Amino acid sequence: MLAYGEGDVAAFDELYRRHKGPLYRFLLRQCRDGAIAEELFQDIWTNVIRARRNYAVAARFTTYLYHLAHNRLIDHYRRRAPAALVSYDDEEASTSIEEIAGSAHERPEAAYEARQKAARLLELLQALPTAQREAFVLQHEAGMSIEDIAVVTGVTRETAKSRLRYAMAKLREGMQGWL
Amino acid sequence: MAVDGRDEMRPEDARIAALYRHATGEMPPERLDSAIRKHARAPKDAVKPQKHTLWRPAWRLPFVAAALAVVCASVVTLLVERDGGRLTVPPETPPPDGGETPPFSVQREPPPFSQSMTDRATVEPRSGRAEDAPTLTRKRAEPPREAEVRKSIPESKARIGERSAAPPDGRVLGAEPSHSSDAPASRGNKTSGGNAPLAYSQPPAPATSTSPDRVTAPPAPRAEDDSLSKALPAPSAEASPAAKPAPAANPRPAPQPESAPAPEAKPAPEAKALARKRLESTPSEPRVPARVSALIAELENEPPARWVERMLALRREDRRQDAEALLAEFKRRFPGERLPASLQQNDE
Repeated sequence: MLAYGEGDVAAFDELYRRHKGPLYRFLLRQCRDGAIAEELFQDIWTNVIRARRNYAVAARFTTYLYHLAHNRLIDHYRRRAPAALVSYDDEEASTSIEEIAGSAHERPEAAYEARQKAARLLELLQALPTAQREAFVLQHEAGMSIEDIAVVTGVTRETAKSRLRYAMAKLREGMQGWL
Repeated sequence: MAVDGRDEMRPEDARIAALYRHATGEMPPERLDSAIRKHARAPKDAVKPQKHTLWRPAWRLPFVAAALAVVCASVVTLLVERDGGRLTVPPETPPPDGGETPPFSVQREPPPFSQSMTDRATVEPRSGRAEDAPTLTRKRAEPPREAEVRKSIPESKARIGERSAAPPDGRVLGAEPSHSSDAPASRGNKTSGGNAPLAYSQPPAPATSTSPDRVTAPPAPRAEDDSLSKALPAPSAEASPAAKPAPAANPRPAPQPESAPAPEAKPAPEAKALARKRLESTPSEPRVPARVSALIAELENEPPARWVERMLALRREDRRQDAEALLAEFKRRFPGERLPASLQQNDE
């Protein structure tokens, strides 16, 4: 990023190549809408480009990038209609594990087991609370540690760790019999 | 993948991680890639100045234009005022008769064209007195004039007596004082030229005593007047009722060069020329073509008949604009004077 700030466009290309996929998927998982994810994705990269001159190394670029993404997502959630607001509260799990597990039994047998498993996992992931899902995606897409997740999401390390543990527990439980 | 280093790595976690990597492979669309890369390549410094150059005029231009307009208006006003002030300074002309002040009652020639303040101020210095110079307001406030006016009374009386003794064209002169004494009241400063402000400036008592004496003499008719009066029925018809006191009916100023007492009343030619030159060069004056000004100057001391003749001659020469300008000036100077039919038709 520093190199790009000094005019090295190739540096930006490398950054973009490295982070475009994970960031896009992170946004896609969080907002669940391809068009919105694209819009947010473009906004975030535009902010990165705009901030190239004033960029100061305070953390890893990944942390910086996902911090921007997190803030942009929060803005997006706030702008959405109140009925569609997503709770960021850990305690408010909209879907219980039992419901997710129950729905799995109702699914017809699919021809392709792998795709079924993937779909199941994504379904479980979407059923997670936003904060837990964000922690999970940040860890698995961006390869972030708990500390980084805490920094990006603006919570304490313990909170980030707790969110991650809850997310993994629910996924394990939901994927029982699928793995 | 374990949640924490301290947590034991469960086999399900690794499978979930692997399954997640397998399930998700979405990438941003190509158009988004290219748009972002293009945006990243846009030189920042090239965009910024352009924004500035476009932004600056957007709000500065009206302010600059307004400021310029205000400055221009101020400068023009200042210049006009200064020029006016300059015009009030009299030309350094000695009195014609060795310093003797010409009487105020002397009929001065009307101002050449305009009746503005500067015009009058230009005419007034003909008295040749230094204290007359600065401004009109100062002149109006000056009481010493009374003495001068009184001093001039006998001379004026004598002159009027001379004229009334021999009216050349049969016009009744008795009517003339009436409307010329009305002149300040009815026409104000408009047609009485330099006399009007002075007449107003007099305090009531001396003014009443001197007003009949300050009455301007009737225009001294010339030989051409007779011929013109024959040609034009209007003035001759007007001449007989002039005996009755109908002042406002025929408020004719008196542009009579002949009737003006001969040498001492006439302004010095240099002063006259200088005044005319200044008048023409004054920016605040109405724009009169030079040739029309010349014509007016030429006819300045002439009776109305000469004016009419000149206007007709101009029309014959197809100098319509000059004729119109002359006609306008004629009407201003001789409001009661009737025009010949040809001029009236064209006028309408």
